[in-house]
Amino acid sequence: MSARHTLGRMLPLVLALSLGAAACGGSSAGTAAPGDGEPVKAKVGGSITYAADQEPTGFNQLTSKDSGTSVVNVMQGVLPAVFKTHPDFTVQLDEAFMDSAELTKDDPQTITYKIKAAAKWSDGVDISAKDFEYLWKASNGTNKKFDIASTTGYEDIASVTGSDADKTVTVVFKTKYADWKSLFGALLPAHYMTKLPGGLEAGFNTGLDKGFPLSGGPFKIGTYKPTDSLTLVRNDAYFGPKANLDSVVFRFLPESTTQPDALKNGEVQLIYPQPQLDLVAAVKAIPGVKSQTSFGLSFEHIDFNFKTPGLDDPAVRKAIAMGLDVDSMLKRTVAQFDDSVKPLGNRIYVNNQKEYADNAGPYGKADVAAATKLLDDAGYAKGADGIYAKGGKKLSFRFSTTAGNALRETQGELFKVQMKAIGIDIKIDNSKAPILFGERLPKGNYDIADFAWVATPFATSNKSIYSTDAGQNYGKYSNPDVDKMFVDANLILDDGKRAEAFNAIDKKLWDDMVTVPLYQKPTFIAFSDKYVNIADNASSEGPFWNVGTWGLK
Amino acid sequence: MEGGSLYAYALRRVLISLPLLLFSSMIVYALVHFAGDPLRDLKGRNPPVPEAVLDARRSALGLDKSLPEQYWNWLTGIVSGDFGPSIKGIDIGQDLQVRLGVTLRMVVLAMLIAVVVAMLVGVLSAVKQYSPIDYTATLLGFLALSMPVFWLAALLKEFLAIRLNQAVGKTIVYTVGDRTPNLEGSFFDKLPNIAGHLVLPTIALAAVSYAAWSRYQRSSMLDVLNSDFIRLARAKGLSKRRVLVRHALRCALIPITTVVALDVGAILGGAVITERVFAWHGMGEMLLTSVNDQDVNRLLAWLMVSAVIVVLFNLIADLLYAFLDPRIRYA
Repeated sequence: MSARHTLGRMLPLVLALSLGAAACGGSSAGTAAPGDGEPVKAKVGGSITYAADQEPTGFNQLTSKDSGTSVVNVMQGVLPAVFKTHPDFTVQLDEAFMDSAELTKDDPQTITYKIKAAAKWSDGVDISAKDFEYLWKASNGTNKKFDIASTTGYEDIASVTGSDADKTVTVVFKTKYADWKSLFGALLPAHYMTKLPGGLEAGFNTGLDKGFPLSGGPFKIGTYKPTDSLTLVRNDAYFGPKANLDSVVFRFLPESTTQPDALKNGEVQLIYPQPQLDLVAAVKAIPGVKSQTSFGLSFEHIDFNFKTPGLDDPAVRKAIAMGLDVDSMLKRTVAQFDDSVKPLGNRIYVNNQKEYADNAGPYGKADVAAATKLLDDAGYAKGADGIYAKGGKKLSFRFSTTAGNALRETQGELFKVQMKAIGIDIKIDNSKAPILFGERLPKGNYDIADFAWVATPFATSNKSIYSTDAGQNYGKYSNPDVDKMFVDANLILDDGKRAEAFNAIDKKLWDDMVTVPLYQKPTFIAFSDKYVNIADNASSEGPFWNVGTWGLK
Repeated sequence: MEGGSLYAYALRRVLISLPLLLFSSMIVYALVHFAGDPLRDLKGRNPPVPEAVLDARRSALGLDKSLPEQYWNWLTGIVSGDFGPSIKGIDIGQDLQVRLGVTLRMVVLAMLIAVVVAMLVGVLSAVKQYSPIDYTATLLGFLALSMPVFWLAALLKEFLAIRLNQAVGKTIVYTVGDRTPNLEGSFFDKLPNIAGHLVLPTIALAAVSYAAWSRYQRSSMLDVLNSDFIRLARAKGLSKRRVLVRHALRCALIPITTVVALDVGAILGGAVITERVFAWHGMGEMLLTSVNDQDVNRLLAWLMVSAVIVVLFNLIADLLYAFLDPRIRYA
């Protein structure tokens, strides 16, 4: 999970068609998204141009430098992954690539991966255990020279062993890692990577800066013209179902306001901008264009700083949450372009995950009487100005969000009014995104903040937000019970029981009133109706998760 | 003007600009340094980026050194043509080359059109002062001057591209970029596509520059037409055309020359809004992205190139002065 400014650009998607949560617009409604069903048959041939808001920084998405959305989008159709997160947030085996990947022993945790015999890189070399081993060694953190984006999960592995001509991979963990399906999500060809100039580490860190000639997916990188465009072309040597389209062009258009006109003028056929009211309205009015608004893993929330005097009192935090009117906030903001948005009652799981449970209880429902009673009972007294105070200290806090984000600024104003009703004074103190996310939040220079977290389907990633002294625990919340619950939950290998454990953590976080989740952020995709099988997907997979199936009608 | 004194003057101007460039680079370096942490993006990720990786990145970018040290390393590098590492791993030299070419392509045609039209309209307005032509030109000039580029761009895209293309049934005018990706064929095959991409940004950029320049030209021409030497020329019986072209216009070109040279120098550093609204990946976009990323080396590369262009065009303006007005001497 990450603050909006980093993975925020990933614009996570949800294919909510099957769940009934998506709102489709444009000239015809919702036939394009295949979701988890079978793809619609498409013509072979043709090309699509996508308006990419960012240029890839390189081609090794495992490095910290290249782990952003711009690279992930390009490499989605190029690198093989054991599991793919589907639009309904289920994590499913890529059956074109793998025969199986199963937990074969609980203690020590052992996973056995069986790679399809036909699975080969585009140069004809087998995709094998050597590629798994290479990825593990680069990512486990023991060799500090690798510029690796994350060691999570890989650092818990004791060994990676190949057998059956390296088509079977046995991974043994030294520490249990419940979210093992999140591993080996972008394999690199070890035989190629280890021969890159500069040696093992330099090859990994910078060897793919200019390009990547191989492929283990339906597409491979064709041409790359820095600042202008990048073109993926069909990988004819792909062992799975061949891609329908001849090519996919990523045209770099960083200014989202240029995208609707470019779509209307036929210069691009697919856009995926951050939804804004006027932009969504403009796109929906374009004939021959399908659009889809979805709600993904990214969710907006209110964050409390536990180091702020006043907010260190749970009664105050709970009163704020009680007085908050989430429904009204939605109606005046995000529901204006999609009224299917719902208040979020869980900070571990979102509405359209099967593990979701609404744990919000009485919070977020504008119960002014209950909120003021909480404050009265806690010894606060209302002054002549209508603001509560205790020991001469008024309940007055700063509210900070990203300046320039109209939606959030509106939320701030609404929050201020709602808090005044329960006798709490709010002063708006917004900052530009780089300052808020880069400095103020990490340094704890805020009282109450409004921003988004971007989750993965793997709930253990929440540990770094709610555990004592964890990197993204900006508010400095600390509860040893919760710390232990996170450690324990990560050891549960049964999916159902793990979900129960994480929901128990969420309830505990509500009890401690750590944050107030508000709603899932919408995502917006629009494309020419000449194409089929293009669908929104909310996980970090992004819109290119099924690019091989895209095609012309 | 003697050749020797001209060269000495030009050299002196260039030498004077060097400490200016140095000083401005120091200021910008310090401002970017204190603007925040360039690694903030990495630090905010989850799962967290390992500390060792952050240390390595800090070291590779030279961020582990003191500010004076960092600046000195940059300065010594730039002398040997090394712009230093970019935070986003961009090859700064190549990036500059590409972007300068893109901006040049956008600016040159627009400036040519703007200069020619501004001169013609300005002179005509002055000669026909308070006539319907003058009023019309004034109205159009102020309209173009007051219209924000992004709004003009929106109108142009809708009416001169989308609707026109729909009317003719194919795309002949484009709204984004300088050419369609993967365009193939000979130069003449590509020409319609490249020209189709040039139409809107050229009109937008030319309109804005034309508006200001035509007002300068009108005002300057009026000053000259009302001066004594023009009256004398007329009194001596010179033809109207000769008075206008040989005497008045030449003098009236001096102020506009300065304005055009200075404006073109600044625009070559990036027509920021025009590039943005038409998605041209030029110098203006380089400025915006490097500031946004706190990519100090990339920003300084932009600054240096832009500053050199401005200095160069200032110099050109001064030299053109001497060409247009023989009374001017460089000492």
